[in-house]
Amino acid sequence: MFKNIVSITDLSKDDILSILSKAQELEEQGIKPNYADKVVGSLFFEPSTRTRLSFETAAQRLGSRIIGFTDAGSTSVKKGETVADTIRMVAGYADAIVMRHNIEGAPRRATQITEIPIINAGDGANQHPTQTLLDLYAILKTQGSLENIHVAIVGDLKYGRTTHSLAQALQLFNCKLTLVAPEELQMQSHYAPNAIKTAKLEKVIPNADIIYMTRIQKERFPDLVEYERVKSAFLLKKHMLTQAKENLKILHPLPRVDEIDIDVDNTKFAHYFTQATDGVYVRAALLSLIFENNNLAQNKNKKETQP
Amino acid sequence: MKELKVTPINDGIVIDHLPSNTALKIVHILNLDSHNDIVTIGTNLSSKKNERKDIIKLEAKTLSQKELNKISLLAPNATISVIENAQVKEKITIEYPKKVKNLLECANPNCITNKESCETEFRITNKIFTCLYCEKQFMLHELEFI
Repeated sequence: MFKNIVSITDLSKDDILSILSKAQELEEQGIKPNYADKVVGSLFFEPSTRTRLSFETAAQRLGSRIIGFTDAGSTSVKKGETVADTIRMVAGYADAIVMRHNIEGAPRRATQITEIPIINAGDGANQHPTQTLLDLYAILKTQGSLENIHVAIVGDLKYGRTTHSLAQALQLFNCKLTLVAPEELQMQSHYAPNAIKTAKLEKVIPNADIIYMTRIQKERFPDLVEYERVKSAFLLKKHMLTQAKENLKILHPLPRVDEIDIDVDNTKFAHYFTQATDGVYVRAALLSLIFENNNLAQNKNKKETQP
Repeated sequence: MKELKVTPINDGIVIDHLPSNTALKIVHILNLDSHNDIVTIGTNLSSKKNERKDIIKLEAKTLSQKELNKISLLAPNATISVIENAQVKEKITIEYPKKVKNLLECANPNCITNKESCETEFRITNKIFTCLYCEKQFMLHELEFI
């Protein structure tokens, strides 16, 4: 079984399915406070609301306690303490660490510093694997399967870490993937070598089972006029969905700005808010599987040291 | 009679069958220009099969594993001979690696390896270098040797 979750590529297809199965079990049966003896280090070097609260809610519902920080400015990081030293320190107190950092590769580095499990809650423009897991959970719940699904990923595919992680995960399932973005923001091919690329959102809608919307960020465009021109081609409005398949669901990692018009919210296709709230089950699943693995390892050690 | 355009050495290393016009780059990357003994360089020499090649001969030199790794990236088809008493004592086989550690700098300024003391590591597939940490992909010419 997996120990760390730093990149979605660390997880096998079986790992992903076991996490989603556990999430389903927790949603159906409730999250029980079975881990009162566990401490989770919640290290958000970079601010977050949704991901952090989702993880902390999951940890608390599991009965575990949380230590950490929500902003590196209030820690020794401000004095120049390295990621390595911060992790060393927290690993002395916690049973697992959830971390978000603006520097790419910081969670991978953390796995080299400590034996305790590291969960990457986002590292720069690189990976956001737990977001991908909750995205996959949403696809599984709404489509009944992850196999043979047509997924269209839309928006900033060059810099959007959630899009990279999702495209990589979908390679493990027999999905058709269409990448919808302006040319300058298209995804690098190595994330999804067999994906179809297009800049025409309206053409993809009638054939998609899932449309995964992401925001095109203004800061990527030095020319604001160009930004407005490009952005307008990647906005989703209700009238565009008249030819959509019955089972289509629209997802978004949130926060949403205007790339999904509010008139879409009340349609049968909108799933992005449920997608977010279900994140607690996925994150609770991750933590409980990690805690169980930790307990098994400790019990094994005890048996081995007894005379 | 066979004519040698590059003088033989007594004890040291011969790096032969380098691609044409690469010897000077390899000398620079391996810091061979600060070597304390004779360094002989031949460029654009004729080779078998009517191809051209470069050659480097180094008196009183052994190559570390790190140096061999650098050569394997720059000239994977090079042949390396250890010379003793003007005879070939040993031939060292090099091959294009699948992974390199602490050899190349990551070109992503926001990679942890450029922010803290941390050895770099790249996985190599089809001559594409993927950083273990930031997962960005590069070609060799985009990366600086450490």
